[in-house]
Amino acid sequence: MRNNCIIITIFILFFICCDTSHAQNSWEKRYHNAHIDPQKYISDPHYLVRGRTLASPNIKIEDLQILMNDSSWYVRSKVAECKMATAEILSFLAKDKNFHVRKSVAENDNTPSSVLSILALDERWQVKFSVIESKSIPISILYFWSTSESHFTKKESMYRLAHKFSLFKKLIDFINEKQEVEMADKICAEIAAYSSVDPKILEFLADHRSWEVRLEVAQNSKTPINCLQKLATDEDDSIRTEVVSNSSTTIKILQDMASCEKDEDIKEEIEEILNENLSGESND
Amino acid sequence: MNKKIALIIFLLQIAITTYFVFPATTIKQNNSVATFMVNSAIAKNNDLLFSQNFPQDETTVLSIELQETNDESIRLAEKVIKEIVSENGVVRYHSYLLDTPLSLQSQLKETISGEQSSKELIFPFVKDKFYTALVVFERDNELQQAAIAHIVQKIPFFIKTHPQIANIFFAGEPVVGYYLGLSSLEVKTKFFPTLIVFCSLIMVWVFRSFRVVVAWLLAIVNALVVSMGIFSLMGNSLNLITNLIPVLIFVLSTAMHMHILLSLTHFEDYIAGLKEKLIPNFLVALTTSIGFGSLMVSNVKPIYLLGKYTSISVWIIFASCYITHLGFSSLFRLTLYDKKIHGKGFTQSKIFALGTKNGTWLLVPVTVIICGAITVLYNSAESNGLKYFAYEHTLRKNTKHIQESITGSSSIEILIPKSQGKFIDYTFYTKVASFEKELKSLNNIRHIISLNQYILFVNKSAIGFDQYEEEDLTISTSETLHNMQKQLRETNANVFVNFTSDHYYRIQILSNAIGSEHFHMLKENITQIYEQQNFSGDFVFTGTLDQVIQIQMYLLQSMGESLFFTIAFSLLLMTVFLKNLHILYLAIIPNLFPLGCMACALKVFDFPTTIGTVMVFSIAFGIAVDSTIHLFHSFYHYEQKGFSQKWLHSLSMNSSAIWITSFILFGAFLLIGLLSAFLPTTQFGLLLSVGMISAWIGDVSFLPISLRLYTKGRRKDEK
Repeated sequence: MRNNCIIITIFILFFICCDTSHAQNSWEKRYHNAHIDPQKYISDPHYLVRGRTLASPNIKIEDLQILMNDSSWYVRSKVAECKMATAEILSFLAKDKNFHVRKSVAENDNTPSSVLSILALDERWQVKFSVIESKSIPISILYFWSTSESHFTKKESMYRLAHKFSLFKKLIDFINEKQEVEMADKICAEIAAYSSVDPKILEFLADHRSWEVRLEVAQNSKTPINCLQKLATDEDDSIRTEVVSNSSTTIKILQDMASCEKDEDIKEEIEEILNENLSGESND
Repeated sequence: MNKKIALIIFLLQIAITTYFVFPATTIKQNNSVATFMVNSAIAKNNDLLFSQNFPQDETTVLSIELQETNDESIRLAEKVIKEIVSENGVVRYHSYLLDTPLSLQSQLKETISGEQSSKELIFPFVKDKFYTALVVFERDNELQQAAIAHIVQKIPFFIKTHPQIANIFFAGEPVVGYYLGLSSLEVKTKFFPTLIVFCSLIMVWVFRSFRVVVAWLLAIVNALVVSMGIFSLMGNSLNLITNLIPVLIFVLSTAMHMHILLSLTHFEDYIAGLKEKLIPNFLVALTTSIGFGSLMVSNVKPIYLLGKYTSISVWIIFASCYITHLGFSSLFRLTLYDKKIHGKGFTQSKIFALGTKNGTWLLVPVTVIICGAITVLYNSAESNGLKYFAYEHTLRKNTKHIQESITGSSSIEILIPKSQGKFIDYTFYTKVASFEKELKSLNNIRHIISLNQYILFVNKSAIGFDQYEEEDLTISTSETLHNMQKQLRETNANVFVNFTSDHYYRIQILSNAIGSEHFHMLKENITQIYEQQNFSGDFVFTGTLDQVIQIQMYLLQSMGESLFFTIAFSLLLMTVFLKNLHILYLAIIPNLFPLGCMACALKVFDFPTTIGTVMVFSIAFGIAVDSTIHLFHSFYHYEQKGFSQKWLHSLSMNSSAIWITSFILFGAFLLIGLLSAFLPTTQFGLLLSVGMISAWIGDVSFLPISLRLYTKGRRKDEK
């Protein structure tokens, strides 16, 4: 009986030893603790845990210097994203083989202009155009892209500029300073045509010297009401016509336009819309 | 025997076992397509051609089901994909936010919404509530499988952490390979503990001795560790086929050991008991090793390895059985003479009665063998690796979900010869555009990724997604085509690395997970369409799905051929070593009977023919031959004349060992078959349990009937 008990115990132990399926990873726990005590986890075997340490406010420059040489590109890209990353660290990571890392460097506000200028020529467009996300982007890069022969480069840089008013303004000032007026107008017209453009840009362009730019602003459904009001009194007929057709133009603007509009065709169009609107309201 | 010598032998055995423990326990699993690569000139040439022209990598599909699709959730999905796939074995990944320039994203969003926008992209990266990425892995098996394992482990964490994520699906051939490897590990984690625990309990019950079980375990562990250690040191890895080696060692070792133990119960003199079984066991080792060695004629590497190492292992088993008894058993005085094991369970008279039946009873095994052969010939073969898993398995559910909602996750590659240079010329372009259009209309083809598909996307974005009409998408001039390619090189230079080489144009097809029948139909249709386009040369058809189907079909064929050689060699050797030509036909019926029973069981259990089912035939044959040799040896070496006396003697020497072995293994394999959810393992367990019991029936009933008829015939001739 005693012998049998020993045998059964040995068998059970053997079975437990052989069955390793119960072993579970505890990296999830470490992941949750990593940002509390980053120094403890910067050498963790799991890259997600090491990456998580960078979200901690207690992370030090020395830790970043260790992690910038990490074997995982994910961790290196997290270092490149880190607000504490120094110019030296970012310059080092800008030469990384992995484009995700270079992309993060390009997007970091601490990246020096000299590094951004190099990244702006990167073979991967994902890296190249990310430079625009950095506050320290040199205007010369934007100018270079805007005047590029490549249709894609122009289109992509314009689209990104359309969402950054300050950068756009800087670029236009830069081109104007160079006295390339035609070029500046062309860029303004193109940007004003984007439906997702920053309304501040449309506001800025509503007073533009070129009627072509103002026309694009008048056509854009994102144009703020105060700008449309301004454009409703524009000296150019075609611009006023576009204001009438703009879906964002309010009844009040149209009524104001109708009272002072001299052009018969535009006036007729306004009245037609107002009548349609009135009949619609009475039907309701 | 001298105690000092016994101690030295025992210590030597322990030392040898210890030396091989580390390599034996650290053997890697490798179920990659390359491991099973057939030595076929065409397959090798196609693979070489592909590797010379394009990066050798394998594509999988990772799809995130979102609670709702909006900008925020799409960005979250992209972030999660980045976090999931940042593994060493991942070469790159393609997703909507990563691959689509912002200006085009806005264009797509403004003009087209929902399902329509997914049709405009090269691949439906965003469709309904699914955000999908194509994840490309290294071909290096170790890196690839480690990366997949980590990804699979991380998925539940991301589902749990982000409430915006409803589910994450991951599928493709490399993922199938990973799960196959995981299921193969069942041998280590479930198979062996179950086999050993079950068999040990039975051994305790039969012998009522702790020392017998230890001796038996020591012999088996020694044989297993040394054999697998050598296998590992020679740089081999385990896979679905070679996983069979440890099981074979266990089975053959148990059988051989049982004969020795039962022989020891007969003789008061310990050494005499060992000597009695020396020659039959030597013959068993010789025939089995040469029989399994015949598998080395196969040009599928895993089958070759199975043959080579099983034949080596048989001798290690033989040696370890005797070393254990000369060492451990002598040292700890394993006295079995007084054990009354004979007659337990089945009495000898009952077993003897089975062999006295009328000769017409032989029609039963003959009918079973014929029925089995017909079943094997007409049984459907299952070449789709996915079907090896239970319907409810994560892999099958994921693949089904991705297939129904987004795309197929199996990959086929077509390489079309083209004129030199990275860019394609206009004449070639028109043919390829038309060919791809036709391909898309074929059943089971879900998506096509190629240079033309990227050009199509550039073309659509240039026209404007809200402007173009379906019909006018073919580029009309050579100059426009050149400009489009120039533009594409600027936005996605990798296309000219991954999809065109100096000599070939590559079309990557994502197809549904299909079996060989549908696959061959698809291949035929593709060939027909290709011929209609009048390309300048023949196309190359390859890809993971093509290789997987070819390998599985070839494996089934090759295992069949090898089994034939095993049977032929074993019978021939039995005839030569027992110096009796009649053994050739006397042994055929009882030894083929278990194979016939297992083949019929295929039909009864409704099992398709798979690697798992073909492999069991070799093992059952091995165990049947083992028993036959022991019975024959005792039968022919008993000096008394007359069938009854000879057969009674043979039964008294072997029947207990044969039935204990057969019933222990029957129970163990039945348990394994019922416990496993992995189809090849279930099939393996259930069929082998049928094989074990039918091998016993064959040896104790049909073998004596044949022998009796033969002895009667000889007597008549003598008279």
